[in-house]
Amino acid sequence: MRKNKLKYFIQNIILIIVGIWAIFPIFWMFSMSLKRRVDALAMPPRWIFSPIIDNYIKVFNSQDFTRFYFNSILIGLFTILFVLIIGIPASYTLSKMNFRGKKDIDFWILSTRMAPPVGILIPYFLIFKNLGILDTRASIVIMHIALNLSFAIWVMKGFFAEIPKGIEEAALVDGCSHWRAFIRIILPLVAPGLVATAIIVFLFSWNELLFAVTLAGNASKTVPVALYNFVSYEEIDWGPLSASAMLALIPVLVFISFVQKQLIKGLTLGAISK
Amino acid sequence: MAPKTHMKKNNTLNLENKKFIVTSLAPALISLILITVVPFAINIINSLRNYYLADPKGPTFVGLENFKQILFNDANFWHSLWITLLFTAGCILIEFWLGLYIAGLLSSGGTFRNIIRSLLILPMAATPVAVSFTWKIMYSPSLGIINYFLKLFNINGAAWVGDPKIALLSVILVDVWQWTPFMMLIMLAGYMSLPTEPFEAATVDGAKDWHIFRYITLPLIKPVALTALLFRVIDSLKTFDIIFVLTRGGPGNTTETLNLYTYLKGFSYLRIGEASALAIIFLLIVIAISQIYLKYAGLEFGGSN
Repeated sequence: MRKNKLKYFIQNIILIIVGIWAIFPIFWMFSMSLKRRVDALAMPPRWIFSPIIDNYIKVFNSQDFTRFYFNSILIGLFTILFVLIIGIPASYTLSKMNFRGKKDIDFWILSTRMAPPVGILIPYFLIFKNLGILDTRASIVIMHIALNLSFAIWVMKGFFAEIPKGIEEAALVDGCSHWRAFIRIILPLVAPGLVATAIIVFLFSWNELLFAVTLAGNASKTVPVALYNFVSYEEIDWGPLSASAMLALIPVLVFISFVQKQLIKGLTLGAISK
Repeated sequence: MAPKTHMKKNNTLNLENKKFIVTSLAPALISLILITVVPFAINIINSLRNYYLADPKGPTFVGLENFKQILFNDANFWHSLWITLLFTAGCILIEFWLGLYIAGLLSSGGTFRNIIRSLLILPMAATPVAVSFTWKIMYSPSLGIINYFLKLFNINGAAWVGDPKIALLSVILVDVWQWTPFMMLIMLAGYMSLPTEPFEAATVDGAKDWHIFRYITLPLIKPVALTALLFRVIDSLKTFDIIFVLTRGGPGNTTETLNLYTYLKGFSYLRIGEASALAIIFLLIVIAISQIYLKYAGLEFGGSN
């Protein structure tokens, strides 16, 4: 018995270390963002200091951050919209209906995950360049749809699979058309799953760097791109840099605190329900 | 009379079903073609051209010249492939065992463990650019917190991402920080779905912890673990953000993965022809590695449930 208690105690210590390890970089970023320049560069590091918000003010004044924020939100929302409209019906059919070629489509969707994004980026960069729509939010939205669609279909398939069989049959027997039954009866049942998927898609779009940094110029710059440019130009000015990094994390932190359960489910479902 | 109407109803139901299947899948399938087939075809065409984006004369057809150049004359390609494999192997090995171990510790549940689990979601959801940049600050040789901590234990610090010898390891550590939680979450879901009987029986029989883990837990969790591994392998082959922010492939090209090499070839050097050929080779390598893995792991990709 005593041995078990000791074991449990050691496990708890290890878990506390793991927890600190997980949040330390973000804690450190936060504390940097509240430090004066002298405090930020002090060695040994200052754990106790008088916090200031000057860095945040500086970010808002010098960096046009509100515009990048607006770009990111807009791109995220449009990506969600299209991914869901295109993905929801397909994921339902793939999850619930039987037809020839279903296995092939499943495989196709899953295998898109293997394709390196840079292999999609190069041709579409050329297409957008020819169309003259480089540095537009639309071009980034299109790429973010491409990046998220098959993942979203896969995750939503898992949510549809949880609906007990027979519900749609009952609706159909009642004389509903299939689309009607799908929209009226099935969709409300998976609403929480769809919200989870939407949030994950938003976060992926919000965090995405590769496509955005290549396609965006000054007009369509997203938050990660602004941050990346910031890092390369003002490497020494850690305070404002940390402040803008913290600002980039706000939506992430909000979603984690409010819809954590669905988030975990969505993220793991994509991997488990093969 | 009755059976006939029934049959008629069935037929209309079938037609109705077919219509539904086609209309519900069409937008997604068209999009998938635009995402996969179209870019692949364009890459093939461009890979056969001498296509320098800054050249006003435009691209010229050169056949397989780009592929020959890359496979037989380009030491950077082979180097980047080696770096990619090292990076992936390092990340996967650490993340797998660490994730499995932490999932085991968390599997008994309770408030404290649930809080730790919540904290672990942060690294994988946080904006990679933002956290990579924080790691860069923490890695700073003279002003970074990591060297400061090491000094407390009388260990000499390092230049981390600035030192060619350990730059790759430093980048791997950030990836481990970011993605171990993903492994952990999936394994945890696996743990939660395990039946309790074998464990109870083993405990009654007085089996050792290690033996329970080795002969009961591991085999039971294997299907979930193998799938999680596959996804992580594919994703780490394609890692971009953290390397791009932390080192941009440097110092020298010690952290230049195939993904980064392809990107730089296309968008820094504007060599679209070579970059397209690299993208095709890269895709084939990812497919090959996945297929070998699937065969070796005895998994079926897609289809079966």
